[in-house]
Amino acid sequence: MEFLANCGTQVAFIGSVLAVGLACSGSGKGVGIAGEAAAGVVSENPAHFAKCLILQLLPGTQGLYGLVVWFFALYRMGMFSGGVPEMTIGQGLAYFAACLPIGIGGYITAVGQGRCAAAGIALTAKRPEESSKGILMAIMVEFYAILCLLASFLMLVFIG
Amino acid sequence: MSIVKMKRIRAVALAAERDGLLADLLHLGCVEVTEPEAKLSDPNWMTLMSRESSDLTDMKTKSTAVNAALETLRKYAQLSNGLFIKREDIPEEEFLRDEAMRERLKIAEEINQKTAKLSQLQTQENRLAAQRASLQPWSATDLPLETGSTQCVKICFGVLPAGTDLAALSAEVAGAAPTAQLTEISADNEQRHLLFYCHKAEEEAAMTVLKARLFSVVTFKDINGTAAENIARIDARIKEIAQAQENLTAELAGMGQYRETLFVCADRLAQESAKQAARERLLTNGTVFFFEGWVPEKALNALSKVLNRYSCAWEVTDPTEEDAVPTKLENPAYMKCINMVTEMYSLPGYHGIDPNPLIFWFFIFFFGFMFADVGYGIIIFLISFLITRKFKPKKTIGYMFQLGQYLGITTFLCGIAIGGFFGDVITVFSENFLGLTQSELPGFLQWFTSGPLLNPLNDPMTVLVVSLCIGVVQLVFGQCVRIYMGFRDGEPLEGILDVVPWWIFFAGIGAMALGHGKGLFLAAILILVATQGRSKNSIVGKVLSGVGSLYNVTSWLSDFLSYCRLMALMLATSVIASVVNLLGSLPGLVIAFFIIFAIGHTFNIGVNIIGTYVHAARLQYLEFFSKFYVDGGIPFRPLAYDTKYVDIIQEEE
Repeated sequence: MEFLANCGTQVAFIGSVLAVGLACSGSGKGVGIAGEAAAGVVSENPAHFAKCLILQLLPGTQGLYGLVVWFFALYRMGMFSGGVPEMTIGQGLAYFAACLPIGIGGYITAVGQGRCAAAGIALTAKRPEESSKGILMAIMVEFYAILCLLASFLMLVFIG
Repeated sequence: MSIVKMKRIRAVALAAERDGLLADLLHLGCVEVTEPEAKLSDPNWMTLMSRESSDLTDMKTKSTAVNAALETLRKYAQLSNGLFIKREDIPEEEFLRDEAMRERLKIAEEINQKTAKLSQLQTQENRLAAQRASLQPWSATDLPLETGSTQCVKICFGVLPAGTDLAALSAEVAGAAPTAQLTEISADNEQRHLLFYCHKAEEEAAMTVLKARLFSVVTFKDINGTAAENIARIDARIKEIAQAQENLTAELAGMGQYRETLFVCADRLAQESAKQAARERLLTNGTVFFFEGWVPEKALNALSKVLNRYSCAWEVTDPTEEDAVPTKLENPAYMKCINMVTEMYSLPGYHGIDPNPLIFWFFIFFFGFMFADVGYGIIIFLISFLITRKFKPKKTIGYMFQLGQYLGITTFLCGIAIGGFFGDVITVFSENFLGLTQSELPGFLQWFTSGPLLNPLNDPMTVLVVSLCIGVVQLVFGQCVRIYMGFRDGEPLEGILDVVPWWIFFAGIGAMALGHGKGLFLAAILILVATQGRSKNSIVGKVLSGVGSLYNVTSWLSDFLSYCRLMALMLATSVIASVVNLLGSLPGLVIAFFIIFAIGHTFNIGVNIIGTYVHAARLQYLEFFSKFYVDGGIPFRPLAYDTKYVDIIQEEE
């Protein structure tokens, strides 16, 4: 019980790790899905490689956002100004909660954006001149990752 | 600033003058020849005329040949296009010279022949290499490979699986056939290659044993002499082929000098294909031909001068309500770049309104607001400006970089308003490396870094309220455009009744919020119920529709709240920028700071520029356009010069 009352720091760490881990997993999966589609298109027509690469890279931003939140959470906890901090369970849970939006939201939006990018790559294969419309459609998904990033970031700003 | 007025043109001319007339129309570049669909299904017309044939397939074949030749040159002459094609100027007469085109087609033919020869040689080389590989294991024996059995002795070559124990097998065979002899020539990972001979009388017995051990006979077709001799011959041949390939490659590299002329040829063929495609849309009866199409009203004078030079009867009429009139937008030069934003969504219908001047200022302001950074603005402006100056790109790419300059300027201005210079690098750098806190900075920098107008990171709520107010401005402006369109089209009441009841509704909400009672609000609801169903026929239909329209308050709410993405994206850019600066300050070394600074901010610009562009555009498409836009426009595609590699200088008549 004493451990449970004093494990605030650990809970906060778990939260920040989830932020970067889930978001990067989602990005990896999304970029992978798009990459599979891109490989298929390029095998038929190598000239489309550049356009397909741009579309494939689009789901990658959620991983970056997760890393940003992870870093900022550690910074707000005080890791970079001298060692591992002491925290009550309440504070720890607050950090945990703050890191969740980008973790969960980043994962799901990244996978969704990956599938959208894969469809955009198929669109580029049929109509190369309309690839910008495919990019537009994939960017629509990313907006929600931005909202998750903001939620996490602003909460981290206002907790400490 | 507007959608260009179109007129429908119909003309009948002599078939003998057809090519000249089409060439003149191509030069004029303002007539779109349309498919005569109505005429094709009209039996009266069809008894008189039929569709014109064309040389389109011929042109397409020639075009493919020239493009193949260009591709070969790109590969072998090692010339690349670079990021932007440098367009050459060429006078129209030179462009149209048939002789020049014939010469160039011959050159393309030559190049394609050489390419075909090269691939032929490659196939031969591959075949010879395979042959050589199959002969290689047999090179140790000096027995000619065509040696067959003699009268009494059976002689043959064969293979056994690699793992076979040769001594044991020999013993076994010797038991069945005493005169049999099995000699190993060579062995590798997969097989053992052997020479076998025995007296013909014992052939069957020996073979039975061998076949049981998976011995298989190998015969060599069309080969004379020993393996070594043949391999030498093949090697010599392969060397010959390699030399021929080298010569051809060198010749093709030398032909790289013809690339420019082939570019001109490719463009010429593209224009000829366009002419032939137009020719396919003509109707003819052998002596005369008929065409119909669209021409902008402004170009009628020039067109009539051209048509009067031929024996041509023509009439011009106004488009009717049912016609699918193509849309051409006319805008001042500085505004043309915003057209790519409109085109990404949809061109306006002919009876709609040109959105370009309406969205131009909103779009560049929104982009600047969402990207807001002095440093980023300077970078975007410089890149766009330099590329426009150096490469002079045309059409879409050219417009993109022209737009980039405007976006750079607004980003710069909004960056000043929020005090963003590469995020908060001024405070971070001065605190960590110069030891100055914010209050110790020079006055100007202090004023700048504390956010002259807005401070997104410290005070996001104010930014949110500002974003929503900007949204209200755009939505109300959109509604005013609707009212204007109502007056323009002669239906003022429609425009007013679409817009004003909602204004009363929102005024009513405002009055309730301020505590003046529900009167105005209830009156507004009654007006909405009464007016919004006015297009339905029965009284019941009108009332039900009116009640249903009250549900639109949700779409109003969503449109209104959608503008908070202005704040969201502004914050996103600032957040990542400040984290990059924080990361840079951690190691404590100035060098490390600058490296992380460069990488991080480049990344930030790259990632956010697409998102900001898309969301600024999206606000126009969904929230703004829904108030007044008529979409579904068909682009106007006149028969005109549309070149990829060269710019044609047209002589003024």
